[in-house]
Amino acid sequence: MSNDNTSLRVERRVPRQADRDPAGFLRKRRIIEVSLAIAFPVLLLLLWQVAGSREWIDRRFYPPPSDIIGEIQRTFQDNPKGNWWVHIWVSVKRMLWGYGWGVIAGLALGVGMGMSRKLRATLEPTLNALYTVPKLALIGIFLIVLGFDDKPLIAVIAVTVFFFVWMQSMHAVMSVPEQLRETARSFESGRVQLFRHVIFPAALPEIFLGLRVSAGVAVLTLIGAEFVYAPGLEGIGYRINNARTVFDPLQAYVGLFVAAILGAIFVSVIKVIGKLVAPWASDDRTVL
Amino acid sequence: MISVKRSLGAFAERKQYRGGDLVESVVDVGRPSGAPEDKIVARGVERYFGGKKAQRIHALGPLDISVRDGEFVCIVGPSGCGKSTFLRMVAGLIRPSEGEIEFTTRRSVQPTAMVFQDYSIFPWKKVLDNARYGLDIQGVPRKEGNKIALKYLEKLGLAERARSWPDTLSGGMKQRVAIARALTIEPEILLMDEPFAALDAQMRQILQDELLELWQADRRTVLFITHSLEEAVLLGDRVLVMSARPGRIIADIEIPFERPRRAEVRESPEFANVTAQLWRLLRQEVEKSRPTSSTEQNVPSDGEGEGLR
Repeated sequence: MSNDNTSLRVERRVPRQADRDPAGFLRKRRIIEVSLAIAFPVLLLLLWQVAGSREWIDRRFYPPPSDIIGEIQRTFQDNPKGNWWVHIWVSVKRMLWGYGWGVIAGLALGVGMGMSRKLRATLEPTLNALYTVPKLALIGIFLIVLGFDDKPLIAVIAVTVFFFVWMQSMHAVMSVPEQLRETARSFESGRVQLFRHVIFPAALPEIFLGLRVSAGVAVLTLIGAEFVYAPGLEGIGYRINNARTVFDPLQAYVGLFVAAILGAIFVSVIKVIGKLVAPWASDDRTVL
Repeated sequence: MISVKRSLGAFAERKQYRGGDLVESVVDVGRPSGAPEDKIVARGVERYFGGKKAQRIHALGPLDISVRDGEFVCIVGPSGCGKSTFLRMVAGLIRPSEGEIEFTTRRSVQPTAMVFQDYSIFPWKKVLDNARYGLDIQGVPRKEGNKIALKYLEKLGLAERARSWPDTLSGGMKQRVAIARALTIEPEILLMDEPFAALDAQMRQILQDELLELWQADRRTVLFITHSLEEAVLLGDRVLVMSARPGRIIADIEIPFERPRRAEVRESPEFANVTAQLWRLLRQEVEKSRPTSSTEQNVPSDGEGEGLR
């Protein structure tokens, strides 16, 4: 069959450097990935810096990073414009309370509705309708009902967080594979045991995805709500909004910086907790 | 396909991009280095998985295998012995860590086609479009592609389902589509990785019979991985038995039944003898691999390996 040598080709599958030295390859790849992850934001900041210091953009509105870093240092060392720590603490308290209530309610309804058809039939249409109501618009109602302190803020955050947690945990419970449920039922597990041994752990990784998303949402809602209403004239959102009204963009950037750090910390804390309580779930392979 | 001719002469080295992966090949206008009737020659092939030295797993090798042109070779071995890894290396999906696999080919387009165990049929393409996939990739005009694809669907009794969505097919039919898809590019080497393992026993037997007949009609080179010894004995000209990890060839058995073979050969006493002989060889390897089977999950079949493509 292979007489026609002129048209014969020989192909070879041979190892590449990466196949001979996988450790070196993985190390190199990791170095490249980490460098890229760092290089991109650094590049953006550099561009901003250059654009600001060369006055390509208006320095008063868009102060370059160096100005902002200087302002952050001054703000937190000498408190020339009021103690930021007080505002941060007040905001964190509001956020945690709101997040906590939202998570509790969202988990309860989400898991309950995931497990019971009847409960789902009763509540789902109503909740779906309420889901699209802009929560910030509720702040006026909450003010009247709950009074002029932190409670309306907490309520707005809780309601917003609730919808995210509810939706994700209901979906998580409903998508537990039938095979796992049947395995548990074949051992005559009751409803409670079924929940404890199978449904809850099976849904946990996805539930935590919802908790992570809503952690970010809690920060967003907090800042937004404090723009509208800030009892005692305290809070990160209030400071950002106030900086705008008194035309102090640097302070606004400090506020944005604080909010970003707060959000990043909060989301990673939830992520770490999720890893601790659901160690079997596969890791999403983030570089940093 | 981009190809760059580096140098001219008896050997012209060529780098090709095929399916996004770099395939290094040597265009040989002389003779292949093995025996002239050899289609695939593996020399000293080894594969490790895992990055760091301490965690590296020696998955298989060193392997020396040669497969003659037009031969049907089955590979059996305990789970985790690296038989699928070998097949993936022949297909060019992963590279060996050491050694080389060489094959002669008469064509410049894809010489191998692979049939996977399961889940390889694209649910968003109708049966005909699935079967035509390889031809689409090669840029064959759709009309012509449809004709070829239909021809093979017909051979596998699927012509009437050409316009169906895969989800409406049974498992056996899906695997037939996968086989048709591999055959439409008329590969010189057909690679089959436990293609019937996910089917029920009866369907499995039916597809074995069909494959036997189909293959005997055109006799292309086949490398066939299986767990079923009966399947190997029924289909193969030769059965290679692999050891527990790291997989090596511990036996190379010629199957004595003549061609064309009929499915009834299953009922002969000799069939039982050959199968039993294979089982004796394999059994100790399977048992050997048992205590270490807890480490089996550490072999990343595509995870880490994927990164090294």
